[in-house]
Amino acid sequence: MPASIDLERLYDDHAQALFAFLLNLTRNEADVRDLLQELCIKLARRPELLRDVRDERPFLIRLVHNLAIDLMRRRGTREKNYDQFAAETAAIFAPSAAPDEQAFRHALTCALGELPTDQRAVVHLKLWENLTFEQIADALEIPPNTAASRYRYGLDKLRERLRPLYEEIK
Amino acid sequence: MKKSNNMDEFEQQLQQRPIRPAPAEWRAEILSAAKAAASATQPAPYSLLSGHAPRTTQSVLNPAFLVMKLWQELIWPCRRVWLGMAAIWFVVLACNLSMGDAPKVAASQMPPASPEMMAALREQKQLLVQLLEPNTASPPVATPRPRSEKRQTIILG
Repeated sequence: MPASIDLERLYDDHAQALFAFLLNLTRNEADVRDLLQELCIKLARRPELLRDVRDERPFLIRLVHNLAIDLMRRRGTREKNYDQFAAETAAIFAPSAAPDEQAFRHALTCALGELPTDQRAVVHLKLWENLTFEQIADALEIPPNTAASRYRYGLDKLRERLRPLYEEIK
Repeated sequence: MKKSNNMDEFEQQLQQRPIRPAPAEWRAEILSAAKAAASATQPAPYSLLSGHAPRTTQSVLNPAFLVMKLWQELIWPCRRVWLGMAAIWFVVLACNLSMGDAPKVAASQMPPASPEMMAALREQKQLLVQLLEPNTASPPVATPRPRSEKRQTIILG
């Protein structure tokens, strides 16, 4: 019988971060739910996966990122992939009562959706998870220099896209 | 959210935008599904009397299950590649089959041998037989001697 795992503790500690990452990545709330459930099932069946893990967050991000890639591959290239989902912007950010702020958050959501999936993943992990490039590289299984360059390209595109709006509300 | 000191103002502004929370009702649903899945995969007690393998092992060893998993994981994601390879092999097979009758057709289309050709062939056959027959009258073939034949000089004195 496999050793038990404190799934509730794991969920409470990491589900919000994983939800945010997957939502920005997939832009589809139903897919996010499926992927979170798939992750929890995987960890419940194989608790030994976390046995020697020092930092759980990047490890779990790596797991869900791979699950998301597998889901996209299973659907095939004819169906919409996560880049094409950019036009269908699920609300990512919390709503704001201020109209200007709400407009900026909506524009930010759209601008993020226009980024390629790989750049969007890195930008999210850098800005909203505050991971280092080494941690991002480990989570996404890419070289650190690749993570850094993807972040620079993604941020430059966001800056170009959002500068007028950002200057207004600054 | 901690602000990184290395980020410029624009990056910090983006960081400050909070991402909406995950739906609260997901927690109970996802955790209960995970626990149910975990308990379902634990193997049933092995029966010494019946000797049957646990149900989970049986389902994994089920050929239909294996075929389905193989199809889902290996074939379907790359179905265009597999179809392309199958088409190439089909073309190769078709070419091979169509060329398979060519030697027989070529042989059947050969003109009949002329009398002169037949005589020449018989002569060549006789010559070959003579060459291959052992000839006892002929002198033995000298075995090759070593190239460097040193003459041993014995000095008496």
